Parts: sequence; structure tokens; C-alpha cells
Amino acid sequence: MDFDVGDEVQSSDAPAIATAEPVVAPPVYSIVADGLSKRFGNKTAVEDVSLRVGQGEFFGFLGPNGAGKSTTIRMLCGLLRPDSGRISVAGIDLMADPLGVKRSIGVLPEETNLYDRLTGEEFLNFSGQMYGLRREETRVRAASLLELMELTEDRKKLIVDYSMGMRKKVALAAAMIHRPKVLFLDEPFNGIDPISVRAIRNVMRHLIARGATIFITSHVMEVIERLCTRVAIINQGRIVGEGTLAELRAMANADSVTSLEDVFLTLVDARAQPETLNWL
Amino acid sequence: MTAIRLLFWLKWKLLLRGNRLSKSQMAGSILLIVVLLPVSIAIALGSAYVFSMPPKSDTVNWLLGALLLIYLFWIFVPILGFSLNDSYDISKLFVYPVTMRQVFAGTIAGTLLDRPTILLLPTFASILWCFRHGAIALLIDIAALALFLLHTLALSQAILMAGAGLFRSRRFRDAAAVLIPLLSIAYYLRYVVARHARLEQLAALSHSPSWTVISSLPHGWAARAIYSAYEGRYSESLADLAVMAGITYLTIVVAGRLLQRIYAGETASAPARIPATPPEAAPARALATATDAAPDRPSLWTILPHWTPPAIRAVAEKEFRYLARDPYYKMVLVNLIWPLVPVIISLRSAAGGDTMGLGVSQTGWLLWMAPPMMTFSQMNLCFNIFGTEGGAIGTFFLFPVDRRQMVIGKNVFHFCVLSFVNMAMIGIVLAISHDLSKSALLFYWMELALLVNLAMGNMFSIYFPARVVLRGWRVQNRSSGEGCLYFVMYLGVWIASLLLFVPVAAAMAIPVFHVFDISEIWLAVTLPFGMAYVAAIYVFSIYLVHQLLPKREEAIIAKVAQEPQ
Repeated sequence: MDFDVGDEVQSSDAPAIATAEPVVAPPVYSIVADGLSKRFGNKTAVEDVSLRVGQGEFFGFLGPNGAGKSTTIRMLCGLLRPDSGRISVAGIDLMADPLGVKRSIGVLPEETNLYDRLTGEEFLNFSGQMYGLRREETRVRAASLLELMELTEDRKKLIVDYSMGMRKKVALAAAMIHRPKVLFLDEPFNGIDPISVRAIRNVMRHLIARGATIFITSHVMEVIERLCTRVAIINQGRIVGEGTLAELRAMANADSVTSLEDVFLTLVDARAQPETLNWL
Repeated sequence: MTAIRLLFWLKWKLLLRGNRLSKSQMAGSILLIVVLLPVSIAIALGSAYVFSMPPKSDTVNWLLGALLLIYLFWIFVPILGFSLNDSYDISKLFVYPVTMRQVFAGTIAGTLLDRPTILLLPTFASILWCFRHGAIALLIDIAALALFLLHTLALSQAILMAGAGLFRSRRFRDAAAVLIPLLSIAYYLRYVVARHARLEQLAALSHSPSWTVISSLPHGWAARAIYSAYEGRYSESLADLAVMAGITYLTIVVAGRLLQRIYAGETASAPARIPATPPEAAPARALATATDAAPDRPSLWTILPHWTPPAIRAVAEKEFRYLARDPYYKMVLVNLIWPLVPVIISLRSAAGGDTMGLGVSQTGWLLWMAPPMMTFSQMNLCFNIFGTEGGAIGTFFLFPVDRRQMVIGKNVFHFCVLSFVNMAMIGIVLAISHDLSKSALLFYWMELALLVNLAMGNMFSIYFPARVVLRGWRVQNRSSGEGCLYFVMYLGVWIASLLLFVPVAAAMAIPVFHVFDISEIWLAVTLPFGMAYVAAIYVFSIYLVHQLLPKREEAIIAKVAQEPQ
């Protein structure tokens, strides 16, 4: 890695999404999804989802539980075949060249299912070689990433003995070892402590600084609001809103100080607590 | 009672849904019933025949023996890792305000729905029929059998649940995965040594003091209650019944308390880890030590030529590391010793001049039987190459690597490991037979058979993947029904492998046995032919992998990433 990961790209913690002026999408798209649909038996998980994510964008993908976020990410990564629709990632058609897409992306799945019987270091070395890196290069990058993730001391431990946060960090390191053009992060902050959240957030900012695209799902609205340049909201398998925070506020008929959380709740039509719960 | 009723309902629903959701489980369940029901009825009929054999004074011993077998079966099978019931995970119930005794009682009630319990009923029916002696005797018999069943189920269930609680330590499980097969092999050897035990000795056992001691176990009280009632000695019978009831009650109470201790603190969450360094330290360290990485230790791995594609190397290296660390591999390898045991014993007999009574020496017979035996025992490894990935299968398929290289990497690993096992077997054959030419031929055959197995295994793995989960000394993530179905499929594919291997066998057998007066010199032609034929099969399988695997990845992930039931 040729960047100093110690410094944050954005010195202030000002919300990235909160700019009043809409960000003009870059002309080059890193992710293009047209009319994606996926059914599991009788249930439609994703229906007619279309997305455009520009190169270098930090794109947030929000939705309630079961809305279709993970299904969409799995389709975009080539882990799940859509019933219909077209996907292009990093300029490569996923159907035509799935391995080409996988070469260009890094993925941090929601469930970090890693090789438990490898050490953190071995797993990174393995991942690097699987991405086609030379052995020496892999070792150098693995050492950097372990340092960055504060895992150097635990690098010889088996992953099975790692905590949830350590597993997330090592999985993120593995997803970045080949310098992906696009990084998919599915709930990267689930179950991890604020220290790890900060470390992961810093890494993401560095990736953005060097031109990578990040596609992230998270229930932590504050992080999305602070980091993402644009956001899409999915509900019951359909996109119900997409744009900058200002554009989303407009869609939700909200004023300029309304938080992303409130906008989100309005757009997914989350009802207030029913009166039948008065006994609680 | 409400909690027990709810747990019984839960078991019933899980049982029904398990069959309804999975077609393979349903097919396996039907297969299991079709296969096992006649066996159960046959055992019941056999028991009835034995119980009615004279002299009548021995009948009580037969009854004792029958109940003892049932008792031991239910007690030891869970210890070996076989669960006689597809039970649920009781730790999920700990969030509810139910006592461990209620959980335990509910679980025992649930086992009444399990197939092994149901398959036991014909034998019980035969006992009731053979020891009928009026209405009072019948009532006592039913009560004795019910108490015996309750006690046995309770003890078996306690062992199963305690096992689930105690064996949570990874190191303990790792060690047990290797130790238990080794112990069972040692037991088998002991059995072979003592196989001269005859029926007369069994009869003598039933009149020995040891038998009296054995009969004081719980099954003995039930058997004596039944036999006394049959002879009209009702007071004795009722006394035995009372003891049996007391034992059953104590079993449930003690097991409940024991489980309470084992699972104590189960719902408490693990303390959060505190990082060793403060967050501020991270940016400063940055990438300073990037180039300080220690060089990799040389491994067995370096035996591969340098031009081997990195992905093949990486996959094979990962598998080798797992070989050293994953108890699954250790256990499978230990189990591969099994086929060697009869080989050693038979070859020792053959060295002593024994024949099989057909004028064929056992060494010669083994030459032709060893490869099929070995290929069958190696199927566990070769026929589920993705199963060992477990939850990481999604990560595995995310790598942008030619799928042929992934599979070849795994095959390289399996070939190296299993060749080592083959070599061990050849070493034994050579040490005992001192026949170098036969040993060399045998090795050649086994290596080619291994390649055919790998080729077939690649296809099987693509279409029938299953996550491997260690349960005791077994490997499975299937219900008993599915397991039965898979066994039948394994058998079918194994036979197909053997059929594919026929040309190679012919290429060896024809010159060796001078069929059509063809001399052994023709081996110089037929052996390379066999090699080319097997190479073609393997290459074809890799071609099919290239065509089929990308289309099956989604299904493989769904199956292999599935959490253990």
C-alpha cells in the first residue's frame, strides 16, 4: 500500500452528505445496475432495482431488515444470480466476465465467515495470492494491513480465537489487499466496538481518497450521514429514494435540518408505535 | 406441565418442518423406514423365537440379554457421537423461565417421536406377547417396559446433552475427534484377537457371577419384574417394579441437576475484548513495519514446482494448513487406518499359509480388493471437496480465480495426502509379503484408482455439497434420514467409479493372470494405457468443472454455508 493510512482524509467530522448543493454524479460509473430482480420461492426479495454509483463515490445503501440490501450486494458481487437485470461493476459486465468483476472488487460480507483455522496473517497471505498477487508483495501488504487494523500482535492467532471486531477487521483487510476499485461493505459496523468503528472509518476514507468507490450498507445512520456522498434507500425490495441528503429531504418533504434517520423513517413509511401497545 | 407440553410441540413441529422443507431429508426418512422397519420387525420376531426356546429357565437370561443390548445401545451410541434423535439445541431455551428439569423432561418426551424409539416398539410387543400371563401380568409388563424406556431415554438424553455442553471446548473436541476413532480401532483389534469366543462361552457367561452383577443394572429390574409376573409371583414383580420406578425417578432428578451445573452461566455473554493499544496509536504506526514481515517458514508445500499457478499453490497450501489444524482432517485420516487393519490381519494369516478355502491366497485376493476398499474409505475426503470450506465458502468463491485452478489445488492436496496413505499400505504389504513386484503393481493400481476417485469426487462435490460438521467422531450436517440417502448415493457413485476403473483393472489383470495367453511382458503396454485412460478421465472432469462449477456456485454456497442444525 502506498498511502499513509494514519491520517484521515477529511480532517473535520462535518457530514459529507449534508451539503446543500446536490453532488453531480461523476460521468464514469463504477457500479451500474439495471432492473435487478430476485425471487426466493414466492417471496420477491428485490424488484426492479436500478442504481448508478459514480467512480470515487461513497455510496450508502439503507433499508430496514429484510428490505433486500444484502441480496442486492450479493448480486452486485456475483455471489447471487439475479432473475433479471444487468450489472456492470468497474466497467465490466458481471454476466460476461464474473471473474473480471471479482478481480476489481473487495467484499466485506455481513457474516464474516473466514477460514477459522488459519491465523490472521495466513488468511491475508492466502487472500492476496488468490487475488493474483506475488507472494512477496502479498506479505508486505498483509503486514501493512495488520498494522493498520491493529492486529499485528494477534497475527499469529487462529481466526477462530478472534473477537467479532477482529474478525471484521481481518476480513476488511483481506477485501482490500488487492487494492480493489470498488469495495462492498455489508454492515461493517455490526457488533464491533467504537475503536474498531473508527479504524474502519479511517480506512474507508483513505480508499475514497485514492479514487476507490465504496458501497456500504449500515444501520448506523450517523456514520452514513457523515461519510456518504449519496444514499439509496430500499424498502420491500424496491428503491424508494436515491440521492444526496438534500435530495432525500426533498423527497420526504422534510426541512433542511431533518436528520437522515428521520428522512429514512419517512421514506420507508415506518409507522409510529400502535396504540395497542399501551399496555407495555 | 405446560413447558413440557410446549417442548413436545416444538419437537413435533421441528420434526414435521424438517421433513417438509427438505426433500432430501424426506426421501431419506422414507428410505430409512423402508430399510429399518423390516429389520426392526425381524429383530422382534427373532426375539420372540428366542424367548420361546426351551428350557424355560433360560428365558429370563434371554430377556435380560435383550434388554441389556437395548440399554447399552442407547447409552453408548450418544457417547460415540451418534444422536439417536434429531434433537434441538437446548441452549436456545435458556432465555425462557423454565427449569432445567422441565427442559430435560420435555426433551425426553420429545424422544418418543424419534424413529429409533418407534422402531423399538416391535421388540417390546414381542416381549409382551411372549411373557403374557393374564391381565395383571400384562399391566406389570407394560409398566416395566415403560419405566425401562423412560430411564434409558433419560440416561441417553442426559449423555447427549451433557456431551453438547462439555464438548464445547475447541481443544477438547479436537482431541476427541482423533482419540475416539483411535480407541474404536483399538477396540476392533481387541475384538479380532478375542474373536474365538463362542456361543458356549456366552451361555457360560449367563451363569457366571459377572452376569449377576450385570443384571443388577436397571434393565435387570425391569426384566425380573416381567419374568416374575409371567411366573405369577406378583409381589416379587411389584417389588422389582418399584425399584425400577425409583431408579428412573433418580435418573431424571440427578441428570437434571447435573445438566443444570453443566449449563450454568450459559446465557451470560462473554466479556468484550479490550484492545491492547489505545486508538490514537494506530495512525502513528501506520505502515512503518510493512517490510519487516518475517519470511514464511518453509513448508511441505515447497515441493510443488515454481511454475505452479499461484492460485493452485494458495489453495493447496491452505488445505495443508487445515490438515494440521482442523480436527475434521485428523479424524478422517485416522479413520483411513481402518482399511489397513483387516489388510494387516489377513496378510499375517496369509504369510502363515492360510488360504481362503478356494486355493486363492489371501495376498492375491487382497491385491485386487485393496483398491476398492481404499477408494471407498477415501470418499469422505474426495467427494465433498467444498464441504470443508464451511461458512467461508462465500469468501472462497469471491476470489477471481479460474475455477479449474481452485479444484486442482484441492485435488493436489487430496492426492498428496491420500498417496501417503496408499504408500503406508504398500509398505505394510511389502513388509509382510516381501513381494516387490506385487506391491509395485498394487501401488500403481491404487494411485490410478485415487485419480478416478478424485475425478468422480469433483463432479459429486459440485452437485451434492454438504457442510462438514464434527459430531463426536462422525462428520455430518444431516439428519439421519439425509445421511441414509447420502450413503446410498455414495454407494452408487462408488460403484460407478469402479465401473470406470474396469479398463485399468483389465489392463493389469489380463497380463498378470495370463488371460488369452497374454504374458506379463504386455504390462509394458497395458500399464501406460491405464495411465493415459485415467488421465483422460481426470482431464475430462476438470473440463466439466470449468463448465459446471460457475453455474453451481450459488447452490454450493447455499448448502455449505448453511449453519449446522
